[in-house]
Amino acid sequence: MSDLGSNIDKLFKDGLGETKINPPNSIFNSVKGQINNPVPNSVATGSKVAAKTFGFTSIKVAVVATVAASAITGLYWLNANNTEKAEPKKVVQQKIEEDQHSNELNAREIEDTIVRKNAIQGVTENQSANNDNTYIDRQTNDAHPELWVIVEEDEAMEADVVDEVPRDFAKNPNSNSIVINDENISFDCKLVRSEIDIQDNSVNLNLTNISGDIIPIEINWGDIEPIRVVLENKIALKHKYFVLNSKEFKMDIRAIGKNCVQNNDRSLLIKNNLLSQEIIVPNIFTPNSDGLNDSFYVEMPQPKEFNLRVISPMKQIVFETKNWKDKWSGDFKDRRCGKGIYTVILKYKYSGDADWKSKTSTVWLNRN
Amino acid sequence: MASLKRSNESSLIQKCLDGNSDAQRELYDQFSGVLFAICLRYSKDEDQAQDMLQESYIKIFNNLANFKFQGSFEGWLKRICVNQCLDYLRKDRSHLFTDVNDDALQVSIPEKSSDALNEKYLMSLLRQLPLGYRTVFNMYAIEGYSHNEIASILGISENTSKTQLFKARRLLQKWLGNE
Repeated sequence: MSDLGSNIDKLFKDGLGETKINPPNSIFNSVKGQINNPVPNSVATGSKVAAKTFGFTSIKVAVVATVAASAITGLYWLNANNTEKAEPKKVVQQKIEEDQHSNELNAREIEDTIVRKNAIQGVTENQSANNDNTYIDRQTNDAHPELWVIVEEDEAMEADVVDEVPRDFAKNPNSNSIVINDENISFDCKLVRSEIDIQDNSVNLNLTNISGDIIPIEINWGDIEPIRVVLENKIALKHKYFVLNSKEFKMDIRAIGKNCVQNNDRSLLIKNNLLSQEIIVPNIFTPNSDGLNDSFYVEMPQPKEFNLRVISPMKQIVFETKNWKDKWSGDFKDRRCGKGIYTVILKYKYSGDADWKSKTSTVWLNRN
Repeated sequence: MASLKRSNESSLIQKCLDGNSDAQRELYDQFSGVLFAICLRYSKDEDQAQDMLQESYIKIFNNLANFKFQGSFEGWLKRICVNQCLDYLRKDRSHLFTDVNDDALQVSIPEKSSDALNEKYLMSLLRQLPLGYRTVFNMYAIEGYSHNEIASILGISENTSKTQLFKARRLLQKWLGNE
């Protein structure tokens, strides 16, 4: 298939790479109106002198470019060397690009959806509670451009899409679903009843309007710009936090009534089990003390019981531990193990598990 | 010969920068064919392509001072044009990478001409690809971006880029086979 694929690529590249198709004449006229021309002064002499200077600078530039190019080549070479020595990346990390423009658009879209949904809800008031809900799933973390997230396949592409239907999140056996409601809290001004359901890094927020009026509400999730909603009856919002381990967020729901304002501050402790539930067994490590993948260890959430064995190609147990944080340096009885493919047998039990689970894989010990 | 071309180019550019409208027209005429072909490749119809071309040229003329005479001028223009096309498509990004039922696509494969694989034929096939497929295929196969670059430019994952390319190739393959 790859041959076929590159044939197709080549066919189109050769066929269309250098194609010229003349556009209609009118386009230049519309372009012309939008060129920011300089204020004309001494155009005639200017161009001659400039042409000469350009000739000169282009030589200079060429020299600089050569130097730069060789520097880059050098760097590249170093890099290539480095990568050769080590580094299968244990976790694929990708930065979600900050996209100011689409972010703005998006925020507006979301608000629109909420308002529109509310309008619809006004009509279908008597339907079952499920149908009354609007689910909003914000995944953009544009407010935190510095944040790096582990991106599952196709997650980035979904990041900007507003879902009207709740996405099914993988049910995690370790997830602690915490429900917070405000029934027992007395507010000076009570307009809205809220229920917050924290599940891993996603939070479901159910708001019920008890004021008897249509009221504006501002929800500040604590990590992105606050969103504003006009609440008529009920609304359900879903928000996903980006946390690698755990982090506390200050969440604030503000309902603005005719006579008073209800402020509902909470701090939510978000623990991301969805990300950390994954067990990562590296498939290569390079014990050469360069600071990169010098030891072998398993990354996983803390298990209740744990047993890790590494077996050499000669079927000898070269490493065994019951502590999940232990790392193998690549040595056995003070001697360095040779390079080769080692078998890894991992057994673990999370708290609450009745049976042992096991996982077998291989790791390539590489030395130069 | 190359240096003559270069000095012609630089004087043309300088004239454009000085606001000489004849020179601007000349620069436009010289490259409009190449750039319009790029816009056509990325667009769904000719109107869209014209919009893209217009925006590209506005950007080109207003950023001409930033051309550093490193690398070819045409390459620089093409790059601006491709970026402009992508910007244009990005406004519509929510629809960019939807799953498409390949069989349900309505395709009109043009009559096979004497030269079956001529430009017009290829172009018409390419432009009937769904938006996401087309964008990734264009960027990868014709512009020569890597999956990594495509992923960061379009804000999608590398895997998405790979699947879109794979699907695009498969579809083109099918259409070419059906002729």
